[in-house]
Amino acid sequence: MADSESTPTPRNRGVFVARSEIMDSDGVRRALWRMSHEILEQNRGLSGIVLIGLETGGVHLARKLAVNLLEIEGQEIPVGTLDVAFYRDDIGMRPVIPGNPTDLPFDLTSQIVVLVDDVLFTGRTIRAAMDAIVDFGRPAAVQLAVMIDRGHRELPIRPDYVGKNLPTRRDELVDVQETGVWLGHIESKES
Amino acid sequence: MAAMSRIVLKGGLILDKSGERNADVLIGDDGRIIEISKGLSAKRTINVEGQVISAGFVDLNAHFAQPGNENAETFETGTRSAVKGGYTAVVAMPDTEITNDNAETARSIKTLTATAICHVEIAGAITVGNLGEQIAPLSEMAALGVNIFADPQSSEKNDLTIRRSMEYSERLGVNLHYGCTGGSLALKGQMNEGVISSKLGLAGIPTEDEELTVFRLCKLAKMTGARVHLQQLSSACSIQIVNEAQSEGANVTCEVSPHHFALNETLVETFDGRYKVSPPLRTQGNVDKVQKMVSEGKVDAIATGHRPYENHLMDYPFQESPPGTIGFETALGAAISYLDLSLSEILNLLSWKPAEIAGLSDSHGGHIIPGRPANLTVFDPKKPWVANGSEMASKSSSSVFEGISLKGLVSHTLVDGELVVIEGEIQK
Amino acid sequence: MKVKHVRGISDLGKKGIQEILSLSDHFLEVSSRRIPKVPALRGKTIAWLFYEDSTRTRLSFETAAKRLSADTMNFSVSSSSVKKGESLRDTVETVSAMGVDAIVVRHGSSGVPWLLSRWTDASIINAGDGSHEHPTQSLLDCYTIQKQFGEIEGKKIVIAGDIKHSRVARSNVAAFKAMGAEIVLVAPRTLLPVDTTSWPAETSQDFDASLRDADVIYMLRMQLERQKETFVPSLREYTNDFGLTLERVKKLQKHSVIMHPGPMNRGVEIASEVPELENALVTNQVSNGVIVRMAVLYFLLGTSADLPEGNGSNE
Repeated sequence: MADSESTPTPRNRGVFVARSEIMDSDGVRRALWRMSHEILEQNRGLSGIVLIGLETGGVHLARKLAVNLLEIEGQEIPVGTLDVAFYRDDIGMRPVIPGNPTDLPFDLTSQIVVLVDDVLFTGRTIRAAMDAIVDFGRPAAVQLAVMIDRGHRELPIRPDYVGKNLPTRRDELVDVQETGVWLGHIESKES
Repeated sequence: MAAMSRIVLKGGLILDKSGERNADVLIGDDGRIIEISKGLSAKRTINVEGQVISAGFVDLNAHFAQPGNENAETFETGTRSAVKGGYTAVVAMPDTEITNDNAETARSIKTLTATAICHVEIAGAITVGNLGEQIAPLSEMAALGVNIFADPQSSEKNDLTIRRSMEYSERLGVNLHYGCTGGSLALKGQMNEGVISSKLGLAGIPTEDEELTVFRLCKLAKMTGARVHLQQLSSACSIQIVNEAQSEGANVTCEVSPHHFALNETLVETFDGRYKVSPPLRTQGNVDKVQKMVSEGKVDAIATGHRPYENHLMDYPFQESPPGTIGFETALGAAISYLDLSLSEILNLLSWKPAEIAGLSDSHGGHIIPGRPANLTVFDPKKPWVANGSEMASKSSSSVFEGISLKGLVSHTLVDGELVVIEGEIQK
Repeated sequence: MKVKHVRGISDLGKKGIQEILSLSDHFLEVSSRRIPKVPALRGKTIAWLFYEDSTRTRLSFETAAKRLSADTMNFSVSSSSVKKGESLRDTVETVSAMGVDAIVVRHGSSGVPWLLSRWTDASIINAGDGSHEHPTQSLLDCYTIQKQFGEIEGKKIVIAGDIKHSRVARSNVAAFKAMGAEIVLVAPRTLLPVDTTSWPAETSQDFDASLRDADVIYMLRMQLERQKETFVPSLREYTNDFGLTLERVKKLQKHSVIMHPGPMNRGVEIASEVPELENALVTNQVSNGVIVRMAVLYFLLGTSADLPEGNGSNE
């Protein structure tokens, strides 16, 4: 899950209104396929690799990547989910959005952790994720896979695997689904 | 003291036992009414057009905390509040930290009342220390001019002592006033027992606690023929018991405090210490019945029960806050706002009847006619205002009517011909 | 609608309870980690203002605060940080002036948390006020029941014991009812509140009858002093008629569970061996206590505590 600005339908805030389609479902599928190969190439195989999808947007992407990697290499790798709510730097300023609790049923120490998220924006979510990871163990390395890199970084974070680079305005929103990727904005609900 | 000048109250409506008339009142420098007719004038003329001139109110039940707890109130500060509320005479209860149960104490308390700015009638205790065991030296105190004896918490006391006190006091011709709270049914009670106390987890005081005491006192009064007055009845059923005893010939009268015919127990849900009073605020159903009974003349007097305490105690947890509310300045407004009565009937409850019960009819609560001492109050019965405890003259700001809109406000009060309150401002 | 305090269940309403239970699942996971700690409330200060001695509840809150990386300050009477004779208001204003984000208060007098919220900007959490409310206990009880049965709705919960003087009972009636359970309060009449006509619960003086179809049997502590105060003739008689003895446990339905807020008077309201039985959830309640208190602290201090309108909260 990227920062609140890119989350569609934030609770109590409004509705995501799509304006243009950036990728269709085939585009998403192909990007994931390519990224899976890149992960394999970069790490010279799947030894010690674990995937961690960030709640909520990165979870389904992580699972898709794992399915792809199984198909390509014939090897199952561990997939976990991580909720970074308690590590955010804007605690106290946002409404409660209960995603699913973190599920990391394996040891991270000495593994290569590939964090998976849908949109990379300011980089704060990934910073929080790395803080969380450290509490769970000491990985050999942490890599980052995102479907969309929309720019506007506020921290020195860079992705290792990118589905698509997409320049955006700050006030715009990016929505990543299995069916495609849309660019749009939030229309606030009349309360 | 500066020499008093003649005063004319001009243009008001005089309302007393004989009826109402529009006329000016001329008060002499001897403190007495000289003349009542139209077109009068004097060195000092106060325009009271549109307002009512009445005998000053008489409070049968007030606590001054002096001697012993002067931080809460003194005779001076308490009577300042009393005159602002239109009272020219108040009866001071004997349950101060130093109980008024002997001649020595009575003498020194009398001396203290010199600082008061209206008449203070001090009441003596009926039993030593108010403990209900030994009769206090009533005759010695009566010799000093004490005419009223009170036991503000009579529920604990045994019937035999009460009977003996009643029989013994007969030859002295004094009045016995009894409070009716605090029996064993009220153990640890903080508020009325009922739906709300159950919800809040607070021990409650059922109305039966008061009703049983009222019944016993009425029975004993009838048995002994004593002249008995029951204080601060909060339950409609209690009033009913008194009425029945009265119809059977018992020499009993009773009083109700304004908050018991105006406010209900839901105020306690705020846990605000100012709503802790004894007897407690009751249910709206009870309040409605009490209101009706007062309006039907079944109650003899309104008394404030004025009980001040140091302001910081209002902030104490409800169970630790002392019970009590100030009451002088809201009595008139509450009576006008909540009772379905004519102004005459209200004045009877605030002034005429209490003066009679207290034995002060010679100087207070009587006809407004030439020759009588000028203990008068002038008020606007229509004036709307909002009660604000911190603006009241009492040291204590704990008013159970806090923030409530009332109608009826005193503007001037004269005690023995002296203007102690002008336009709502105390002059001393 | 922003929730600022948890003084009573009415501060939360059904939506608030659900939010806390949902957050509790997250903190269940956090508490199961190797390092059961998150930086969520780093830099926040929480003060304990315990006028009643209560090591268990205070430690539960302290553990919760530490696991959220919050700083704590102890103003409890037992530690004599509370100056003798200093008024409650003065103490609170002093504590507040030191800069606290939340005050957890336990006091023997009903209503104290509501008074405190008038004198300070800090969030107030009630750890028990007189015989009035103990909301965090109810929240952890709800969580325990939910984890056991999957849901609270429709469950029949029997609460037995000194209901009259129990703040746990009052909060539980509000919370369980909000979550859709059916409640029966069981005690001899002297220990039932005087007027429960407005309570969303039935009352009964027949313990055995009430147990027949109960899903949850919630026992309240029977204080030894009640015997002296003429509420019951003797504790023995009380235990005979209202105690959860082994014989009574045998008659329970297979899926029924037994709960107790602690501390227990073994042999009085609950037989000695009962808390160790498989269907007794007493230890679950204790461990859930830390988790649910983490959720409460995080909800108030770590989120904007926004709930949709009309959830039944007040003030």
